Amino acid sequence: MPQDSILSLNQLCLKRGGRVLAQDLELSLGGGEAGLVLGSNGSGKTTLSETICGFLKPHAGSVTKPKQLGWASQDPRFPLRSRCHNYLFQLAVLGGSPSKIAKLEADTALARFGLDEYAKRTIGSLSRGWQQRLNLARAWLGSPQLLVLDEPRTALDPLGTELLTHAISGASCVLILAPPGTGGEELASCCLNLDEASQS
Amino acid sequence: MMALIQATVREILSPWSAILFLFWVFLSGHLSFGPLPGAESLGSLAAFLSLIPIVLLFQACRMVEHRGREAWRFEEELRDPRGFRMPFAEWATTAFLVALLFLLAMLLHNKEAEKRRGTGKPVSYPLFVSHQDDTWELQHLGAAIPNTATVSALLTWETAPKTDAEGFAKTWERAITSEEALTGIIREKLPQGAVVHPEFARLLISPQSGPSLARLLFGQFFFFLPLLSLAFLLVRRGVRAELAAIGSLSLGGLAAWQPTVVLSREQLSGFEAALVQTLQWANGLLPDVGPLFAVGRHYLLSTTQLQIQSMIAWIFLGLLACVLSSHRFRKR
Repeated sequence: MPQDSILSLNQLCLKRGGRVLAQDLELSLGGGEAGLVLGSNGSGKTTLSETICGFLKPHAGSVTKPKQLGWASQDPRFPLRSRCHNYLFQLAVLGGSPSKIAKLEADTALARFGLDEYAKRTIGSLSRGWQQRLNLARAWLGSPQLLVLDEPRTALDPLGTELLTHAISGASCVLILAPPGTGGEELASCCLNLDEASQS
Repeated sequence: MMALIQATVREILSPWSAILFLFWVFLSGHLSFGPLPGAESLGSLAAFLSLIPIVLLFQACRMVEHRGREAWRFEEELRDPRGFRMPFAEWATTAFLVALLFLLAMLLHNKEAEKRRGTGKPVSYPLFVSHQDDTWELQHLGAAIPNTATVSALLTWETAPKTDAEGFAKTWERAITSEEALTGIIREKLPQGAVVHPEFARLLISPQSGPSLARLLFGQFFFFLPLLSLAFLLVRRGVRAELAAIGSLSLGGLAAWQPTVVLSREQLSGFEAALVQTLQWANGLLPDVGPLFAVGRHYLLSTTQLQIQSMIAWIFLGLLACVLSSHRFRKR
């Protein structure tokens, strides 16, 4: 494991519902790197992302991660009556940012994914594609050291995909989890296949 | 933290609900200066205003419940590892809104009271007049009246008086009895031939002295704070918002309950007796915070003194619930 690694998975074993999904997962990502985790449906991509974020405990092995972490879930849920800017502002403040900086962070995150015009709209009034952009903006809020993106291209239009690619290229460390054949290989410096890990 | 509270205010209070709350504060002020005897009291105003923390409690619980469903749990875990910022902001925001609306109500009341008070004269109310021969019945068509009230009427004679001393008209006035205060009916046998003119038959109620509105609302504020903490604790533990709000309010109601009517066991069925006994037992376990939630007609306001031990126990319960509610949402 390199000294400057931001994320490292050490002998990680994933288990859900009594079924072992993958074992002995090894991965290390340093600053400026992007990793890709491929896996078909049910292979454990979401379980892996939730384990990295700390929502689930690893069955075996360990995860080393930074304190500041952004997460874009595969199935984003939002307070639908909240306004986009107010929601991101609250999350930034929750993360410890002072009011002025939190406002700036919310502005920047919205602008990164072309959501400026929707800042005052309620989240419930956004289409699925725009909600996915907001999901990504939420992950990028406060420029975290590590980004865990679970199927980030879902519901994005070509412009959204372009903005995502641009954002990933500028991020400090990204882990993308996606099904095979959905792209992303061109952005990744290393790749982990969960289907192979489960067979072994 | 201030920014978080500010943002949470926008979540709890939509522009429409803000307008409705303000409207209610104004309406409460108006209603508490109404034409019914005893309605013109701070106790009535406190009763009307108590709806504000109750509605806010429900609204805030619903907001917390929605947050639990809408991935806030994950965001709290990612962004606030200690997990106290958001629960505290939710609690503080609701408490702040209650305090703000109570303060507004107090300011409005003081302004209105200044306009209306000053004379210190009794306020008069109309009475319904009927009679059977010489027995006259003056009835107040409403609920109970304070036993300090007096009744006043103008008597006239249809026929000329025998002596000049009697005159054609005479004012009759007397204090009411406790029984009359309860029933609202005043019966009096008047001199033969005397007629009571309905428009001049009045019930007079002197301005009551009692606790100030500030004292009543201050008590109410401290009555509701622990209930807020308890409701939020329940919601964060996975209880439905409405159920949590009703549960905590019921507990508050039980703690504030002052069992005044004594019913004998013969008057109650077995189930009723068991229920009353259970409620009394539960009431005995809780701190007696009845004086904190003093509402109703002024002359019926609880006069019992709040025990300092009860107050401390109530605040301690609230703090405990507040600390325990500083916990992430229960994993679903």
